Amino acid sequence: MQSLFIRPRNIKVQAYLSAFSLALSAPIISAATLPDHMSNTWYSAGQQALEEAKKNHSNNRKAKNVILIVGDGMGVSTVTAARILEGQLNNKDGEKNSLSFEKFPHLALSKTYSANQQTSDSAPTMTAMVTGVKTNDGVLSASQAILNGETDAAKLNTHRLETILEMAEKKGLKTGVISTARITHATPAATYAHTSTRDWETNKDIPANSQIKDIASQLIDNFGENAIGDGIEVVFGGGRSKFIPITLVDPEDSSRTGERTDGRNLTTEWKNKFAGEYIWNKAQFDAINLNQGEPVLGLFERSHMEFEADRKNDVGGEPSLAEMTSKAIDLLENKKGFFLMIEAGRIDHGHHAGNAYRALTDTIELSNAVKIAREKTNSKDTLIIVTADHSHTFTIAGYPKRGNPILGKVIGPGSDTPTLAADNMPYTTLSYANGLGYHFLETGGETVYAEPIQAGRFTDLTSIDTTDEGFHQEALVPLSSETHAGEDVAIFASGPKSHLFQGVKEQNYIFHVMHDAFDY
Amino acid sequence: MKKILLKTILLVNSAFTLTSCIIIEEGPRPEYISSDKSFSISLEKAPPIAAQYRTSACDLPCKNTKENDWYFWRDSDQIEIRNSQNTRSELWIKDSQTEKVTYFHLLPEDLKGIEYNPVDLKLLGNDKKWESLATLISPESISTMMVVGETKFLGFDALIFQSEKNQVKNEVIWIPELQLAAKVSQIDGNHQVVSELSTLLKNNYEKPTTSEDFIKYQIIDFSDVGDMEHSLANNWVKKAVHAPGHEHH
Repeated sequence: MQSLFIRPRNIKVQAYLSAFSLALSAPIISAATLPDHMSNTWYSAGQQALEEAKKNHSNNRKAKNVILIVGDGMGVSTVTAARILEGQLNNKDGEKNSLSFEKFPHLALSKTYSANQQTSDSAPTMTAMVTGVKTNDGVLSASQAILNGETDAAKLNTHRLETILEMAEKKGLKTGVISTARITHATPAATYAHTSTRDWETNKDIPANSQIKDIASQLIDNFGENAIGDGIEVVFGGGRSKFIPITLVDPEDSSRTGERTDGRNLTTEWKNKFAGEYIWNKAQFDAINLNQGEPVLGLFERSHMEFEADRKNDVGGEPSLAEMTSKAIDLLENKKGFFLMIEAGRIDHGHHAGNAYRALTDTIELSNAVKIAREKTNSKDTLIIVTADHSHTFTIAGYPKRGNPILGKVIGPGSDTPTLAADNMPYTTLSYANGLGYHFLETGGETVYAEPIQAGRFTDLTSIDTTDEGFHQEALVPLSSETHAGEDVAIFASGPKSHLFQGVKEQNYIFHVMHDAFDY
Repeated sequence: MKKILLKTILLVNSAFTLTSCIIIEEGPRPEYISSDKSFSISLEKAPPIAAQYRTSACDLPCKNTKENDWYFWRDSDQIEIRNSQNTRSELWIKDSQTEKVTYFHLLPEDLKGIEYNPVDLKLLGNDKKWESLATLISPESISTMMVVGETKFLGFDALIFQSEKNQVKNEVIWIPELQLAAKVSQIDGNHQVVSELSTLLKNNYEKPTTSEDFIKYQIIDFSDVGDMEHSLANNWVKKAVHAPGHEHH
């Protein structure tokens, strides 16, 4: 009831303010007219946000640079939970905290369904973002005339879709692709490769009856002499085994080799074809000579790079997503401009394993990367888009009190003890609609797959520290892996043409804004 | 204690699904004599092993016993447990330089496999895990058990360990010469699970996975299971993630 009485007075205040323009400061007005301290704070913050919003102007310039940043599986609930976690980890107000990209001026929602899926995988969703066309499950940068598993190379070529990266290469811009997943994984691969099947990452994966090129080889073969542009200038990620032959021992793990059975060493080919440098560890990364300006292929893991939470344990050492972003921008900066795609690829993997801790800490690292990208570029000439390819079945539930640990059990306002469900057991704020369900492992992560499926209310969490990094949230429907979800994801944008992101848009619209911003 | 030993037994049982219900007769029990011998695990002395085990599970008194045979191979840098049907295999490979352990769940019939991130295994404590895998018993669990006697097992001198806590009875028969648990049994309430060395393989009929075999496999990363199991082209993944050890514990 109280708010009913307050609201008319606030409206009067707004009218008053409006009449006298910006001459009066919001805090003075609210302090004079509202009944208590908390209302003052909320009100003045709202006024401040309003004034900041009024300062936003459409930037219709042509973009010199475009940076597309994708949080794989970073649905809206993931953004919200990561925002709260980041604040709480910094001993700040988690709910009020904002991730770096949440401060961007423009926002839209993205409809992520694909040509043949209500809930999509990363292949068609990224294809939509980088080609402007939706396609089928598992298909990378080819139209929906191609089905997952198609082996006819001629047919694939007929329905091949040009990507924004390829267009930038043709125009002479520098280009870069960064991912914490394998660089041959669906999201990064869609920028430079064309295939019917996202899992054909190395030649060993291609069926015997198909002439379609594997994804890793396309990073070399699709560019340079007699192909597109002069080659991608910066490639940072994982997936080394897809590039080196089965006869070559991995530099970081002497018990393992590459996977290629065609004798090609694509890291050597990269160096020879593009006069570039190949690196595989943090020391080499740190030693990159920015002045030389040569293309760099950095493959820091045999497979995916580490979760941010586990990166400190890596044998060879790995750069963080923020460090890769910073270095890439340094390498790409030039007069003509650049296109850079950055993926936080392991948010998705944390969710699949039902481990919110790793999904959220990787989301926070994505936020760090965005912050660096914005700081190192000029918002007048650089369009930055932050979005997700799809969501996950990740929910923030119950009525926890303000400041309750986001990874904790629900404790209601005015209480110090967990709220009990109808089964007289506590429950966590974060949970999944499906997946493996509750686990508590000393180290967590994907080792959960070695455990039995324990969906539903498997155990009493009273004595369990649910904020531990090894905790795996409860899930309702028992599945061997938590799944993607089909609701819309957010698009955050800043820079030239970013104001075109408004309302609810199809996912392939993202390409069209980038294309327009580049004025192609 | 119960948890640690139970985990060990789960480890022993984890490679196979108990698919058949067969009534078995109990064999002659080993004759126990008292012992004052000390116990230690030393993998440096551990010889390569090629063995066949049988795991039996029943509710006491045993009438309907589920049993499963499985192979166990051990070398200095490779351990493999495979079910006797040769349809599922658990393979651990240790990098001799970094001590990193990589784990694979293999489907030999399909020539498919899932690779587990070495860092995940490292975070789990792979040094202990390797010892546990190599000896089929965790040092932590056996160190809390009492040596109650000596016996002969398949002609080898063996030590008998026992413990009882919270109405859970555990027994381990340990062969020092082989650095190997020959028998691990647990009675929890009225449920009994026994894993027991049946024979040491002396022929070459059954072999562990070699590097030549391994390169024929299509291996996917553990992280990719979530993206792949829905795919028709990767139906085998669903089969793999319901692998032995997932259903019956």
